[in-house]
Amino acid sequence: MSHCQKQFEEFHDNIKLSDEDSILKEKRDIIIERLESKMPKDAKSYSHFNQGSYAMKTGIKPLVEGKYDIDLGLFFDMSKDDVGSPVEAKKWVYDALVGHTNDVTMKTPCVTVTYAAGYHVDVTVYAANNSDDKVYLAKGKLSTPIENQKWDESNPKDLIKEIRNRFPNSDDRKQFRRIIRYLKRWKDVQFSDTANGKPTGIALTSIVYHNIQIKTEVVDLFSGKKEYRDLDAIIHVISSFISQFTTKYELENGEWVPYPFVTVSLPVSPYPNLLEKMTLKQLKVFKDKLEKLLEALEAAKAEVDPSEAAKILKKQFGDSFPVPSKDDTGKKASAPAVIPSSESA
Amino acid sequence: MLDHQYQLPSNHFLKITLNSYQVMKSFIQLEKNSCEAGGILVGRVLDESNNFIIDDVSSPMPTDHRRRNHFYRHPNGHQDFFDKKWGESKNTCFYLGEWHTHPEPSPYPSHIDFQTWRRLLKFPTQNISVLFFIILGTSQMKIWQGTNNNGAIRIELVAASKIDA
Repeated sequence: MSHCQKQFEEFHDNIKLSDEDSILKEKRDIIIERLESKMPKDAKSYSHFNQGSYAMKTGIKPLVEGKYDIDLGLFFDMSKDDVGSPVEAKKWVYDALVGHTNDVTMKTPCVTVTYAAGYHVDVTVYAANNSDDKVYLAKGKLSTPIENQKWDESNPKDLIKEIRNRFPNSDDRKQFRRIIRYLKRWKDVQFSDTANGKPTGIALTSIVYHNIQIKTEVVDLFSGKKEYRDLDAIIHVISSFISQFTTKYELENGEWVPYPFVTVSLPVSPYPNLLEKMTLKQLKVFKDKLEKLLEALEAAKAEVDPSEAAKILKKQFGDSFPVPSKDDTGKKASAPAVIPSSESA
Repeated sequence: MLDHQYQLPSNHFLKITLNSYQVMKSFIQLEKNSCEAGGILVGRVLDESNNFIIDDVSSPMPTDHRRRNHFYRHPNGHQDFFDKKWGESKNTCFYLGEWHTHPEPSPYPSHIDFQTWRRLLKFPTQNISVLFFIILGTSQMKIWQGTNNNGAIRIELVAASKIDA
Protein backbone atom coordinates (compact mmCIF):
# COMPACT_ATOMS: atom_id res chain seq x y z
CA MET A 1 0.00 0.00 0.00
CA SER A 2 2.64 2.46 -1.09
CA HIS A 3 2.11 5.41 -3.40
CA CYS A 4 5.74 6.61 -3.61
CA GLN A 5 4.53 10.13 -4.50
CA LYS A 6 7.72 11.63 -3.09
CA GLN A 7 9.84 9.32 -5.23
CA PHE A 8 7.73 9.97 -8.35
CA GLU A 9 8.15 13.74 -7.95
CA GLU A 10 11.88 13.36 -7.44
CA PHE A 11 11.99 11.15 -10.54
CA HIS A 12 10.16 13.90 -12.43
CA ASP A 13 12.71 16.51 -11.32
CA ASN A 14 15.46 14.17 -12.48
CA ILE A 15 14.12 13.67 -16.00
CA LYS A 16 12.26 16.83 -17.00
CA LEU A 17 13.76 19.21 -19.48
CA SER A 18 11.91 22.42 -20.10
CA ASP A 19 11.75 24.69 -23.08
CA GLU A 20 13.36 27.48 -21.10
CA ASP A 21 16.47 25.38 -20.67
CA SER A 22 19.37 27.39 -22.05
CA ILE A 23 20.97 24.32 -23.68
CA LEU A 24 17.97 23.93 -25.98
CA LYS A 25 17.57 27.65 -26.60
CA GLU A 26 21.22 28.08 -27.62
CA LYS A 27 21.08 25.22 -30.08
CA ARG A 28 17.85 26.46 -31.59
CA ASP A 29 19.11 30.06 -31.86
CA ILE A 30 22.13 28.91 -33.89
CA ILE A 31 19.82 27.35 -36.49
CA ILE A 32 17.50 30.37 -36.50
CA GLU A 33 20.43 32.70 -37.23
CA ARG A 34 21.74 30.41 -39.94
CA LEU A 35 18.31 30.34 -41.60
CA GLU A 36 18.07 34.13 -41.46
CA SER A 37 21.43 34.68 -43.12
CA LYS A 38 21.29 31.91 -45.72
CA MET A 39 17.66 31.58 -46.76
CA PRO A 40 17.49 31.78 -50.61
CA LYS A 41 16.16 35.05 -52.07
CA ASP A 42 13.16 33.40 -53.74
CA ALA A 43 11.89 31.86 -50.49
CA LYS A 44 8.61 33.17 -49.10
CA SER A 45 8.70 35.02 -45.79
CA TYR A 46 8.31 32.91 -42.68
CA SER A 47 8.11 32.94 -38.91
CA HIS A 48 9.61 30.34 -36.60
CA PHE A 49 8.24 28.72 -33.44
CA ASN A 50 9.24 26.04 -30.95
CA GLN A 51 7.67 22.76 -31.76
CA GLY A 52 7.63 19.33 -30.24
CA SER A 53 7.67 18.10 -26.68
CA TYR A 54 9.54 21.04 -25.17
CA ALA A 55 6.88 23.42 -26.43
CA MET A 56 4.18 21.14 -24.98
CA LYS A 57 6.05 21.08 -21.66
CA THR A 58 6.41 17.33 -21.90
CA GLY A 59 10.12 17.16 -22.78
CA ILE A 60 12.53 14.84 -20.99
CA LYS A 61 16.27 14.61 -20.80
CA PRO A 62 17.74 12.16 -23.29
CA LEU A 63 18.82 8.85 -21.79
CA VAL A 64 22.12 9.18 -23.62
CA GLU A 65 23.93 12.31 -22.46
CA GLY A 66 23.62 15.17 -24.92
CA LYS A 67 21.44 13.33 -27.43
CA TYR A 68 18.83 16.07 -27.66
CA ASP A 69 16.04 15.98 -30.17
CA ILE A 70 15.13 19.60 -30.91
CA ASP A 71 12.24 20.70 -33.11
CA LEU A 72 11.90 23.98 -34.95
CA GLY A 73 8.78 24.80 -36.97
CA LEU A 74 8.68 27.29 -39.86
CA PHE A 75 5.34 28.82 -40.87
CA PHE A 76 5.73 30.16 -44.40
CA ASP A 77 3.34 32.94 -45.22
CA MET A 78 1.92 31.27 -48.33
CA SER A 79 -0.69 28.81 -49.49
CA LYS A 80 0.38 25.38 -50.64
CA ASP A 81 -0.43 26.47 -54.20
CA ASP A 82 2.02 29.36 -54.06
CA VAL A 83 4.97 27.02 -54.51
CA GLY A 84 5.65 24.38 -57.16
CA SER A 85 5.90 21.40 -54.80
CA PRO A 86 6.39 20.49 -51.12
CA VAL A 87 10.03 19.58 -51.74
CA GLU A 88 10.63 22.90 -53.51
CA ALA A 89 9.65 24.67 -50.25
CA LYS A 90 11.75 22.28 -48.17
CA LYS A 91 14.69 22.92 -50.47
CA TRP A 92 14.81 26.61 -49.43
CA VAL A 93 15.46 25.39 -45.90
CA TYR A 94 17.78 22.61 -47.00
CA ASP A 95 19.88 25.03 -49.09
CA ALA A 96 20.13 27.45 -46.18
CA LEU A 97 21.32 24.74 -43.82
CA VAL A 98 23.46 22.46 -45.97
CA GLY A 99 27.12 22.72 -44.99
CA HIS A 100 26.26 23.96 -41.49
CA THR A 101 27.37 20.56 -40.19
CA ASN A 102 28.69 17.53 -42.06
CA ASP A 103 25.30 15.92 -41.80
CA VAL A 104 22.28 17.79 -43.14
CA THR A 105 19.60 15.59 -44.70
CA MET A 106 16.13 16.05 -46.06
CA LYS A 107 13.88 13.45 -44.45
CA THR A 108 10.26 12.97 -45.44
CA PRO A 109 8.70 15.12 -42.68
CA CYS A 110 11.59 17.56 -42.02
CA VAL A 111 15.14 18.74 -42.68
CA THR A 112 17.51 17.33 -40.07
CA VAL A 113 20.78 18.92 -38.98
CA THR A 114 22.90 16.46 -37.00
CA TYR A 115 25.80 17.64 -34.87
CA ALA A 116 28.94 15.66 -34.07
CA ALA A 117 28.11 16.09 -30.37
CA GLY A 118 25.21 13.68 -30.92
CA TYR A 119 22.16 15.92 -30.96
CA HIS A 120 20.06 16.99 -33.90
CA VAL A 121 17.57 19.67 -34.88
CA ASP A 122 14.52 18.81 -36.99
CA VAL A 123 13.20 21.75 -39.03
CA THR A 124 9.68 21.41 -40.40
CA VAL A 125 8.14 23.45 -43.21
CA TYR A 126 4.49 24.52 -43.28
CA ALA A 127 2.27 26.39 -45.70
CA ALA A 128 0.40 28.47 -43.16
CA ASN A 129 -1.81 30.82 -45.16
CA ASN A 130 -4.44 28.79 -47.02
CA SER A 131 -7.94 29.70 -48.17
CA ASP A 132 -9.40 26.82 -46.11
CA ASP A 133 -7.71 28.20 -42.95
CA LYS A 134 -5.79 24.96 -42.51
CA VAL A 135 -2.07 24.52 -42.10
CA TYR A 136 -0.15 22.02 -44.24
CA LEU A 137 3.15 20.24 -43.60
CA ALA A 138 5.50 19.75 -46.57
CA LYS A 139 6.45 16.08 -46.98
CA GLY A 140 8.98 14.51 -49.29
CA LYS A 141 12.71 13.95 -49.76
CA LEU A 142 15.01 15.41 -52.42
CA SER A 143 14.65 12.18 -54.36
CA THR A 144 10.87 11.83 -53.99
CA PRO A 145 9.10 12.11 -57.38
CA ILE A 146 6.69 15.03 -57.42
CA GLU A 147 3.61 12.78 -57.58
CA ASN A 148 4.59 11.18 -54.23
CA GLN A 149 5.28 14.44 -52.41
CA LYS A 150 2.50 15.61 -50.12
CA TRP A 151 0.99 18.47 -48.21
CA ASP A 152 -0.34 16.91 -45.01
CA GLU A 153 -2.92 18.75 -42.95
CA SER A 154 -1.17 19.30 -39.63
CA ASN A 155 -1.33 22.26 -37.30
CA PRO A 156 1.37 21.97 -34.65
CA LYS A 157 0.19 25.12 -32.89
CA ASP A 158 -3.27 23.60 -32.38
CA LEU A 159 -1.64 20.47 -30.98
CA ILE A 160 0.53 22.43 -28.56
CA LYS A 161 -2.53 24.38 -27.41
CA GLU A 162 -4.61 21.21 -27.02
CA ILE A 163 -1.97 19.42 -24.95
CA ARG A 164 -1.17 22.46 -22.82
CA ASN A 165 -4.84 23.10 -22.07
CA ARG A 166 -5.97 19.52 -21.42
CA PHE A 167 -7.05 20.50 -17.88
CA PRO A 168 -8.22 23.90 -16.69
CA ASN A 169 -6.59 23.47 -13.27
CA SER A 170 -2.86 24.10 -13.32
CA ASP A 171 -2.02 21.44 -10.70
CA ASP A 172 -4.07 18.85 -12.60
CA ARG A 173 -2.16 19.85 -15.73
CA LYS A 174 1.08 19.23 -13.91
CA GLN A 175 0.05 15.69 -13.01
CA PHE A 176 -0.94 15.13 -16.65
CA ARG A 177 2.50 16.26 -17.81
CA ARG A 178 4.30 14.22 -15.15
CA ILE A 179 2.54 11.06 -16.31
CA ILE A 180 3.58 11.79 -19.92
CA ARG A 181 7.20 12.28 -18.88
CA TYR A 182 7.25 9.07 -16.79
CA LEU A 183 5.92 7.09 -19.72
CA LYS A 184 8.39 8.61 -22.18
CA ARG A 185 11.33 7.77 -19.94
CA TRP A 186 9.88 4.27 -19.45
CA LYS A 187 9.88 3.89 -23.24
CA ASP A 188 13.52 5.05 -23.53
CA VAL A 189 14.58 2.53 -20.86
CA GLN A 190 12.47 -0.42 -22.01
CA PHE A 191 13.19 0.01 -25.73
CA SER A 192 16.82 1.07 -25.32
CA ASP A 193 18.14 -1.78 -27.47
CA THR A 194 15.49 -1.40 -30.16
CA ALA A 195 16.02 0.80 -33.20
CA ASN A 196 12.60 0.36 -34.81
CA GLY A 197 9.11 -0.30 -33.63
CA LYS A 198 9.05 2.01 -30.65
CA PRO A 199 5.99 4.13 -29.97
CA THR A 200 6.82 7.79 -30.59
CA GLY A 201 6.78 10.46 -27.92
CA ILE A 202 3.67 12.04 -29.43
CA ALA A 203 1.93 8.63 -29.49
CA LEU A 204 2.62 8.20 -25.75
CA THR A 205 1.54 11.78 -25.10
CA SER A 206 -1.75 11.10 -26.92
CA ILE A 207 -2.27 7.83 -25.02
CA VAL A 208 -2.07 9.79 -21.78
CA TYR A 209 -4.24 12.57 -23.23
CA HIS A 210 -7.04 10.13 -24.11
CA ASN A 211 -6.89 7.91 -21.02
CA ILE A 212 -5.94 10.05 -18.05
CA GLN A 213 -8.03 10.60 -14.96
CA ILE A 214 -6.59 12.96 -12.36
CA LYS A 215 -5.92 10.97 -9.18
CA THR A 216 -5.67 12.48 -5.72
CA GLU A 217 -6.11 11.32 -2.15
CA VAL A 218 -7.63 13.30 0.69
CA VAL A 219 -4.92 13.35 3.34
CA ASP A 220 -6.71 15.51 5.90
CA LEU A 221 -10.39 14.87 6.47
CA PHE A 222 -10.88 18.12 8.39
CA SER A 223 -9.40 20.54 5.89
CA GLY A 224 -10.10 18.32 2.87
CA LYS A 225 -6.45 18.73 1.85
CA LYS A 226 -5.61 16.60 -1.17
CA GLU A 227 -2.38 15.20 -2.51
CA TYR A 228 -1.73 13.94 -6.02
CA ARG A 229 -1.24 10.21 -6.50
CA ASP A 230 0.77 9.73 -9.69
CA LEU A 231 0.99 5.96 -9.19
CA ASP A 232 -2.82 5.69 -9.29
CA ALA A 233 -2.99 7.98 -12.32
CA ILE A 234 -0.48 5.99 -14.36
CA ILE A 235 -2.14 2.69 -13.39
CA HIS A 236 -5.40 4.11 -14.71
CA VAL A 237 -3.85 5.28 -17.99
CA ILE A 238 -2.13 1.96 -18.70
CA SER A 239 -5.02 -0.32 -17.77
CA SER A 240 -7.49 1.84 -19.69
CA PHE A 241 -5.25 1.80 -22.78
CA ILE A 242 -4.58 -1.97 -22.59
CA SER A 243 -8.34 -2.60 -22.50
CA GLN A 244 -8.68 -0.97 -25.94
CA PHE A 245 -6.65 -3.63 -27.74
CA THR A 246 -8.58 -5.84 -30.16
CA THR A 247 -7.44 -8.84 -32.20
CA LYS A 248 -6.30 -8.72 -35.79
CA TYR A 249 -5.37 -11.82 -37.83
CA GLU A 250 -2.43 -12.06 -40.15
CA LEU A 251 -1.77 -14.84 -42.66
CA GLU A 252 1.57 -16.51 -41.87
CA ASN A 253 2.65 -19.66 -43.78
CA GLY A 254 -0.95 -20.38 -44.68
CA GLU A 255 -2.24 -19.94 -41.14
CA TRP A 256 -4.16 -17.09 -39.58
CA VAL A 257 -2.19 -15.85 -36.56
CA PRO A 258 -3.89 -13.55 -34.03
CA TYR A 259 -2.18 -10.29 -33.01
CA PRO A 260 -3.21 -7.58 -30.57
CA PHE A 261 -4.17 -4.38 -32.36
CA VAL A 262 -4.88 -0.83 -31.27
CA THR A 263 -4.89 2.68 -32.68
CA VAL A 264 -4.13 6.03 -31.05
CA SER A 265 -5.36 9.20 -32.66
CA LEU A 266 -3.71 12.60 -32.55
CA PRO A 267 -5.97 14.85 -30.43
CA VAL A 268 -6.29 17.45 -33.22
CA SER A 269 -7.40 17.47 -36.85
CA PRO A 270 -6.98 15.37 -38.94
CA TYR A 271 -6.69 12.86 -36.06
CA PRO A 272 -4.23 10.43 -37.73
CA ASN A 273 -3.43 7.06 -36.14
CA LEU A 274 -0.07 7.59 -34.45
CA LEU A 275 0.74 3.88 -34.27
CA GLU A 276 0.21 3.37 -37.98
CA LYS A 277 3.89 2.70 -38.69
CA MET A 278 4.17 -0.10 -36.11
CA THR A 279 3.83 -3.62 -37.47
CA LEU A 280 1.58 -6.17 -35.76
CA LYS A 281 4.65 -7.84 -34.25
CA GLN A 282 5.89 -4.51 -32.91
CA LEU A 283 2.46 -3.75 -31.45
CA LYS A 284 2.58 -7.13 -29.69
CA VAL A 285 5.97 -6.29 -28.15
CA PHE A 286 4.57 -2.90 -27.06
CA LYS A 287 1.54 -4.54 -25.44
CA ASP A 288 3.69 -7.15 -23.66
CA LYS A 289 5.84 -4.38 -22.21
CA LEU A 290 2.77 -2.40 -21.12
CA GLU A 291 1.41 -5.47 -19.34
CA LYS A 292 4.70 -5.94 -17.50
CA LEU A 293 4.61 -2.26 -16.56
CA LEU A 294 1.05 -2.55 -15.21
CA GLU A 295 1.98 -5.66 -13.23
CA ALA A 296 4.93 -3.82 -11.66
CA LEU A 297 2.84 -0.72 -10.89
CA GLU A 298 0.24 -2.83 -9.13
CA ALA A 299 2.86 -4.83 -7.23
CA ALA A 300 4.46 -1.56 -6.06
CA LYS A 301 1.09 -0.25 -4.93
CA ALA A 302 0.36 -3.46 -3.00
CA GLU A 303 3.74 -3.38 -1.24
CA VAL A 304 3.59 -1.75 2.23
CA ASP A 305 7.27 -0.80 2.34
CA PRO A 306 7.88 2.22 0.03
CA SER A 307 11.56 1.31 -0.15
CA GLU A 308 10.69 -2.11 -1.64
CA ALA A 309 8.00 -0.53 -3.84
CA ALA A 310 10.53 1.93 -5.27
CA LYS A 311 12.85 -0.95 -6.17
CA ILE A 312 10.04 -2.49 -8.25
CA LEU A 313 9.39 0.86 -9.98
CA LYS A 314 13.07 1.47 -10.67
CA LYS A 315 13.19 -1.70 -12.80
CA GLN A 316 10.55 -0.16 -15.07
CA PHE A 317 11.58 3.51 -15.08
CA GLY A 318 15.35 3.14 -14.90
CA ASP A 319 18.09 4.51 -12.68
CA SER A 320 16.65 8.02 -12.42
CA PHE A 321 13.88 6.62 -10.22
CA PRO A 322 15.09 7.05 -6.61
CA VAL A 323 14.97 4.25 -4.06
CA PRO A 324 14.80 5.64 -0.51
CA SER A 325 16.73 3.81 2.16
CA LYS A 326 14.51 2.26 4.83
CA ASP A 327 15.56 4.98 7.29
CA ASP A 328 14.22 7.64 4.96
CA THR A 329 10.72 6.16 4.90
CA GLY A 330 9.94 6.13 8.64
CA LYS A 331 8.77 8.73 11.10
CA LYS A 332 11.36 9.98 13.53
CA ALA A 333 11.03 8.88 17.13
CA SER A 334 11.75 11.56 19.73
CA ALA A 335 13.75 9.14 21.87
CA PRO A 336 14.90 5.53 21.87
CA ALA A 337 12.63 2.98 23.57
CA VAL A 338 13.19 1.80 27.10
CA ILE A 339 12.46 -1.89 26.70
CA PRO A 340 10.14 -3.21 29.43
CA SER A 341 10.10 -6.76 30.77
CA SER A 342 7.28 -9.05 29.75
CA GLU A 343 5.73 -12.26 30.95
CA SER A 344 3.73 -14.69 28.88
CA ALA A 345 2.16 -18.07 29.31
CA MET B 1 7.53 -9.87 -0.87
CA LEU B 2 3.80 -9.50 -0.38
CA ASP B 3 3.50 -12.23 2.23
CA HIS B 4 2.78 -11.10 5.75
CA GLN B 5 0.96 -7.90 5.02
CA TYR B 6 -2.20 -7.42 7.05
CA GLN B 7 -4.94 -4.82 6.88
CA LEU B 8 -5.78 -3.33 10.27
CA PRO B 9 -9.22 -2.18 11.49
CA SER B 10 -8.06 1.41 10.94
CA ASN B 11 -7.46 0.49 7.27
CA HIS B 12 -3.76 0.93 7.82
CA PHE B 13 -1.44 -1.96 7.04
CA LEU B 14 1.04 -3.99 9.02
CA LYS B 15 3.92 -5.70 7.26
CA ILE B 16 6.16 -8.31 8.88
CA THR B 17 9.41 -8.70 6.97
CA LEU B 18 10.29 -12.19 5.82
CA ASN B 19 13.38 -12.21 8.00
CA SER B 20 11.39 -11.34 11.14
CA TYR B 21 8.83 -14.00 10.36
CA GLN B 22 11.52 -16.63 9.84
CA VAL B 23 13.20 -15.81 13.16
CA MET B 24 9.90 -16.21 15.03
CA LYS B 25 8.96 -19.31 13.09
CA SER B 26 12.25 -21.02 14.00
CA PHE B 27 11.06 -21.11 17.63
CA ILE B 28 7.63 -22.72 17.19
CA GLN B 29 7.13 -25.53 19.74
CA LEU B 30 6.91 -28.57 17.52
CA GLU B 31 8.71 -30.98 19.89
CA LYS B 32 7.17 -32.35 23.10
CA ASN B 33 9.91 -30.75 25.19
CA SER B 34 10.42 -27.44 23.37
CA CYS B 35 10.00 -24.38 25.55
CA GLU B 36 8.19 -21.10 24.99
CA ALA B 37 10.21 -18.39 23.27
CA GLY B 38 9.67 -14.71 22.66
CA GLY B 39 11.13 -11.31 22.00
CA ILE B 40 10.42 -7.75 21.02
CA LEU B 41 9.12 -6.32 17.73
CA VAL B 42 11.12 -3.46 16.26
CA GLY B 43 10.32 -1.42 13.18
CA ARG B 44 9.06 1.64 11.36
CA VAL B 45 5.96 3.83 11.28
CA LEU B 46 5.85 4.98 7.66
CA ASP B 47 5.91 8.65 6.82
CA GLU B 48 3.81 8.46 3.66
CA SER B 49 1.02 6.24 5.01
CA ASN B 50 1.27 5.70 8.79
CA ASN B 51 1.50 1.99 8.01
CA PHE B 52 3.65 -0.21 10.25
CA ILE B 53 6.56 -2.44 9.33
CA ILE B 54 8.11 -4.92 11.73
CA ASP B 55 11.66 -4.94 10.38
CA ASP B 56 13.33 -6.97 13.14
CA VAL B 57 12.47 -9.22 16.07
CA SER B 58 14.74 -10.23 18.96
CA SER B 59 15.22 -13.85 20.04
CA PRO B 60 15.25 -15.26 23.57
CA MET B 61 18.31 -14.12 25.55
CA PRO B 62 20.32 -16.27 28.00
CA THR B 63 18.81 -14.49 31.03
CA ASP B 64 15.22 -15.05 29.87
CA HIS B 65 13.25 -17.71 31.74
CA ARG B 66 11.89 -20.39 29.40
CA ARG B 67 9.49 -23.22 30.34
CA ARG B 68 7.07 -25.39 28.40
CA ASN B 69 4.12 -23.14 29.22
CA HIS B 70 5.76 -19.98 30.45
CA PHE B 71 8.17 -17.33 29.23
CA TYR B 72 9.65 -14.43 31.15
CA ARG B 73 11.56 -11.88 29.15
CA HIS B 74 14.03 -9.60 30.92
CA PRO B 75 14.89 -6.23 29.38
CA ASN B 76 18.55 -7.37 29.37
CA GLY B 77 19.84 -8.19 25.93
CA HIS B 78 16.62 -7.03 24.28
CA GLN B 79 17.51 -3.43 25.18
CA ASP B 80 20.92 -3.94 23.54
CA PHE B 81 19.17 -5.42 20.51
CA PHE B 82 16.95 -2.33 20.27
CA ASP B 83 19.83 0.10 20.84
CA LYS B 84 21.78 -1.45 17.99
CA LYS B 85 18.84 -1.08 15.58
CA TRP B 86 18.22 2.46 16.85
CA GLY B 87 21.81 3.41 16.16
CA GLU B 88 21.54 2.22 12.55
CA SER B 89 18.16 3.81 11.88
CA LYS B 90 18.54 7.63 11.99
CA ASN B 91 15.98 7.64 14.81
CA THR B 92 13.26 5.91 12.81
CA CYS B 93 13.20 2.78 14.96
CA PHE B 94 10.26 2.04 17.27
CA TYR B 95 9.49 -0.62 19.85
CA LEU B 96 6.31 -2.05 18.31
CA GLY B 97 5.37 -4.87 20.67
CA GLU B 98 6.00 -8.48 21.64
CA TRP B 99 5.97 -11.95 20.17
CA HIS B 100 5.99 -15.38 21.84
CA THR B 101 5.16 -19.01 21.14
CA HIS B 102 2.51 -21.41 22.46
CA PRO B 103 2.57 -25.23 22.42
CA GLU B 104 -0.92 -25.42 20.85
CA PRO B 105 -1.89 -25.48 17.16
CA SER B 106 -4.09 -22.37 17.20
CA PRO B 107 -2.87 -20.03 19.93
CA TYR B 108 -5.10 -18.28 22.47
CA PRO B 109 -3.71 -15.62 24.82
CA SER B 110 -3.59 -16.56 28.48
CA HIS B 111 -4.71 -14.36 31.33
CA ILE B 112 -1.06 -13.51 31.97
CA ASP B 113 -0.60 -12.55 28.31
CA PHE B 114 -3.48 -10.09 28.46
CA GLN B 115 -2.24 -8.67 31.75
CA THR B 116 1.21 -8.05 30.30
CA TRP B 117 -0.17 -6.52 27.10
CA ARG B 118 -2.40 -4.11 29.06
CA ARG B 119 0.57 -3.07 31.19
CA LEU B 120 2.75 -2.43 28.11
CA LEU B 121 0.01 -0.35 26.51
CA LYS B 122 -0.54 1.63 29.69
CA PHE B 123 3.08 2.81 29.85
CA PRO B 124 4.09 3.61 26.29
CA THR B 125 7.82 4.13 25.88
CA GLN B 126 8.04 6.18 22.67
CA ASN B 127 4.80 8.18 22.65
CA ILE B 128 3.26 5.55 20.44
CA SER B 129 -0.33 4.53 21.08
CA VAL B 130 -0.29 1.28 19.09
CA LEU B 131 1.48 -2.01 19.88
CA PHE B 132 1.29 -5.41 18.25
CA PHE B 133 1.26 -8.79 19.97
CA ILE B 134 2.04 -11.93 18.04
CA ILE B 135 1.60 -15.49 19.24
CA LEU B 136 2.85 -18.40 17.14
CA GLY B 137 1.13 -21.71 17.81
CA THR B 138 2.36 -24.84 16.09
CA SER B 139 0.22 -24.35 12.97
CA GLN B 140 -1.15 -20.82 13.21
CA MET B 141 0.17 -17.34 13.86
CA LYS B 142 -2.18 -14.74 15.33
CA ILE B 143 -1.70 -10.99 15.61
CA TRP B 144 -3.44 -8.68 18.04
CA GLN B 145 -3.38 -4.93 17.90
CA GLY B 146 -3.47 -2.97 21.15
CA THR B 147 -4.28 0.73 21.31
CA ASN B 148 -4.16 3.26 24.08
CA ASN B 149 -6.57 6.03 23.22
CA ASN B 150 -6.03 8.57 26.00
CA GLY B 151 -6.03 5.85 28.60
CA ALA B 152 -8.77 3.73 27.01
CA ILE B 153 -7.06 0.44 26.29
CA ARG B 154 -8.36 -1.83 23.58
CA ILE B 155 -6.92 -5.11 22.32
CA GLU B 156 -8.30 -6.88 19.28
CA LEU B 157 -7.35 -9.77 17.06
CA VAL B 158 -6.41 -8.39 13.63
CA ALA B 159 -5.03 -11.38 11.74
CA ALA B 160 -4.60 -15.12 11.83
CA SER B 161 -2.52 -16.94 9.28
CA LYS B 162 -1.32 -20.47 8.67
CA ILE B 163 2.31 -21.13 9.42
CA ASP B 164 3.72 -22.64 6.24
CA ALA B 165 5.77 -25.79 6.62
